[in-house]
Amino acid sequence: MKTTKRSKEAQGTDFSRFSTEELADAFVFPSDEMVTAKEKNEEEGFWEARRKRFESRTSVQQMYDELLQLKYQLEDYIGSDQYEEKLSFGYFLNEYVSRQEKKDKEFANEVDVTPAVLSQYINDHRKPKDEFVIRLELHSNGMFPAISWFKVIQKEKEHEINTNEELRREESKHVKNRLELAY
Amino acid sequence: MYVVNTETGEKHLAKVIQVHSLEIAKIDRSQRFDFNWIEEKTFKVYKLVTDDIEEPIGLLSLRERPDDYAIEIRLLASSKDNIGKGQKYRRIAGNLIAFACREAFKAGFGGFVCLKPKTTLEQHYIAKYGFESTKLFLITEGQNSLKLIKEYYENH
Repeated sequence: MKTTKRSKEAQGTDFSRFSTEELADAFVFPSDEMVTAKEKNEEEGFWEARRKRFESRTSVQQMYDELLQLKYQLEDYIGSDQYEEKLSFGYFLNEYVSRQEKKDKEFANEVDVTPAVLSQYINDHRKPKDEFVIRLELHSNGMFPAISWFKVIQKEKEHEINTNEELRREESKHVKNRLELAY
Repeated sequence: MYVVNTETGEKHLAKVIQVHSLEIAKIDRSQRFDFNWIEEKTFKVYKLVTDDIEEPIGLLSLRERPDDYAIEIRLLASSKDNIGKGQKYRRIAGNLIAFACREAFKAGFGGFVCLKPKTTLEQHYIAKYGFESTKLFLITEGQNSLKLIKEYYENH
């Protein structure tokens, strides 16, 4: 049976049964539309002030916002089932360095590796050691935990092991008397 | 992210998942939530679910405002069995608000989230979630948004 608007309203919650605290704990109610010209002007003024304030952030604030953005993007990526070749350890490391507007040489010095080694990490030509991801955690004051960096590396490894057919062919000659049970 | 069973005090892991048109219609038909969620189809709608129950216990509608560097909470509702003294789970609204803050950082808006409160509820949002009052909106951004994320999203 189709639900009519009226019957649906009849089954809605009687909000008057609850205290304001209970309502605030359960809802953000739909807002009333701006009707008068004065209200519309006030709202436009609010957004204009917001835009101005955002666009005049200090460079430190901007860097901080961009690093938090990167942190949550990285967390979402390692928490998802998807693998994206582009989102490698090197990609996130490069973003971490460039969002601080630092030169690679300067950053390499801050985490005590040579610029050549940092470049290899950024270009995914070398897997980072545990010590290096710990240094990244310390450098970021905990904003980017070592475990997050480790999980990005782990994700690449998982993809590699899942898709490496050549290694399977190669290793095949070392395996005898295989199980003949259907699977 | 977790909710707390009010009866047993047990923590249940929870997560927020985006819901699309067909599911919004299904949820709306279930009548487990107040308000007309079909009207929110043009916005981003999310559900809060626990790890052991498939049905959502909270819904959230967000409007992204990239030109204003902001995310607006249009609508948030706990399911009907999670309102007031008889509620099964605590922290539903807090989790959803913290999720909105995190999305606002991810979008590059510095965690800026706003909502237009009912006047009578304004003080509760300020006291509980640290929102700041402007003439029209309640807002949270920066450190306060980060605090909400740590309290609700990251604190297991």
